Amino acid sequence: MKLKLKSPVTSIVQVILGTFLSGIAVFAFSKSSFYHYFQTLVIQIFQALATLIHLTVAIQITPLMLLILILWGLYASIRGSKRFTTFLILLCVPAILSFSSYSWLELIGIPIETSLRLREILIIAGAITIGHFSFFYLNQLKENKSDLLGRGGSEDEINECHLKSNAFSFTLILLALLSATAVLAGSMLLRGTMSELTAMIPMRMFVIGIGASLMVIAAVYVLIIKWAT
Amino acid sequence: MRKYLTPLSTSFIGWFASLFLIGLLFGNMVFIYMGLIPLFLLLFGLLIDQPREVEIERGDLNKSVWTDDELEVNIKVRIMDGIGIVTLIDELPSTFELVDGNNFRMLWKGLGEKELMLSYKVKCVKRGSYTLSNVKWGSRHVLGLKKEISGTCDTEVGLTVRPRTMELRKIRGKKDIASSLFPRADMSKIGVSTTDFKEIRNYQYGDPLSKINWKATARRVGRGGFATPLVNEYEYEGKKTIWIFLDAASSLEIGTSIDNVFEYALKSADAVTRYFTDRGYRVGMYLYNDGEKLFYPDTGKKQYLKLSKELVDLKSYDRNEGLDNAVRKCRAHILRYNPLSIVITEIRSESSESLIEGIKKLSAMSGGRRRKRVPIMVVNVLSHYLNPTPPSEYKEYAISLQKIKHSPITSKLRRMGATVVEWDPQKDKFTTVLIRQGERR
Repeated sequence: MKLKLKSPVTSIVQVILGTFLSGIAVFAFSKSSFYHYFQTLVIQIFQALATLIHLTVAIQITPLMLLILILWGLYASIRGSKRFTTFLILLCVPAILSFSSYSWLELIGIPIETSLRLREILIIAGAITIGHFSFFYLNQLKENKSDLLGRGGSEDEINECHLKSNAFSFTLILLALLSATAVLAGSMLLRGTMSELTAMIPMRMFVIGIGASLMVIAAVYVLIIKWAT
Repeated sequence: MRKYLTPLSTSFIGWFASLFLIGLLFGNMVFIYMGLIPLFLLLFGLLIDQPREVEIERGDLNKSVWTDDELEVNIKVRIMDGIGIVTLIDELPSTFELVDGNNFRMLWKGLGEKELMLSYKVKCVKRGSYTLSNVKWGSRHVLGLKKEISGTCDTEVGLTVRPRTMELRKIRGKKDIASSLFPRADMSKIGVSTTDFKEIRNYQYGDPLSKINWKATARRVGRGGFATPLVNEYEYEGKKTIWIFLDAASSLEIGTSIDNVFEYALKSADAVTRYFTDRGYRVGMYLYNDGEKLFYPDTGKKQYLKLSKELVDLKSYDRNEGLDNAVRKCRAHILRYNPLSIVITEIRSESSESLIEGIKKLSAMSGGRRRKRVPIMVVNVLSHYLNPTPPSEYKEYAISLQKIKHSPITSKLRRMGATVVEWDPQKDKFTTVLIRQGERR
């Protein structure tokens, strides 16, 4: 199979971004207790396949497998696959889940822990999420470029338009990240005050949770209707 | 809502909903935080609209051009609102060749109004009446969240591409009594001399002395030339009539859509029309195999423009009228004017019978029984080298076989007194062929 790059610059950006995202996703995964389950599972599988395999070698196999998985994902994403970044988000899930208030997984006997702090996991989660959307737009850019070149557009003109369009898109992505961070920071600051105010409400977790969710969904719906039309 | 939003918007809502719900279910702030990012991205994206108001105007355009002329198309674009990528498409007729620039343009519209001038050059390679249709535009949302908007601006404009006229030089035959088919060379003793100067020529026996141009003769002597007197020649009134029978059968379209026998037949008809109308002859035309279009013989530039306009828009037809029927329909005119008939066609086996029959009829109408040579010329536009297949030994054999096959028809036409001019457009100029033909007699 021959790797033919449609847009070399975009592909290079994707490789750099992908490597960075893969690194932080693997880092988050390795810091979670889920990594040990995974390692044990891999060692068992390899020992079952080849009983003579040395334990130290078997331990090295797990990061090697992760590396292979990520390299394959990176290659697939350059080729236009959109599942690579979703896979990276899934790698971060065990670490994120360890900050849950309701540990439903612990109830079924899967305790999840991480050595990372909340601030660190928030940075990783934010980076992975914006990375996911950036990756998506980079892929779309490559598709659009092929389409426009096929319709007879000039490459220089397309590149110029895409450069400006991407700069604008990434600004919006960063703005979305900053807004989400601001909302998060605001909610953390108001947490103490709010908990005092809501202490009187019976079954406040459900009432506030469901009520706030419904309000958010309604607001989003109204805004989308209004702005979309 | 689906009318305005793309599946990508739905996917953003899906990401937000999934992460938000998982966050609520697990009481996990990180998931909610992650869910807020696509939500804000969606909201910011929807808040920004793509360009909707686009004004397009065409710049000054030359509406009548000759084939192979380069035409500059200028388009003034004004985008009033929105942010995003705007594409502009100025659809061109298939026979137009893009020479410089591009008729598909793409531009980025940022904040503020944008105004710009786009231009490109095209080459019009085939004659005809064309329409440059309305310029289409399309605008894309910067994040791809809203559906692409497209529209057109009223910029339709008509354009006529005239065939480039082949300049025919004066065709001179050897001096003889009605030896040449071209009436210009005929020794016409009748007619009144006009004041339209034609040329200066050597004195010939019988020329009146009043015609001698003494100044020109003196200059010639002064240069040490031969002292034959020079005389002024003036145009005569009452020129003969030329009648063109142009074959418009679709079977003449041998070659590419631009370079084929039919196109060359039209070019030669146009050249002949121009040549004779410029010299004051009456020119009439009948387009056979094409719905019986007849143009009465007339003189002057007006007649040339009338016939030329018809030739510009002429399309080939799949009818089988034949020359014999065409001659029958033009009988009254031929008997009245006794013209020089020029048949422009390609001699082919399937239509040879009607061609021979038509020439026979024409010959009879022109007093063929009394004359060795009748005023009929058949211009045979050869298709040999118009076939787009690459040159090969087999092709040469095929051409030779075709020549052998058509040779009896040509011989028969010549025996009937008609002059057959064989023109291979890929090898010779039309004038060269006609001169060669004039010298042969």
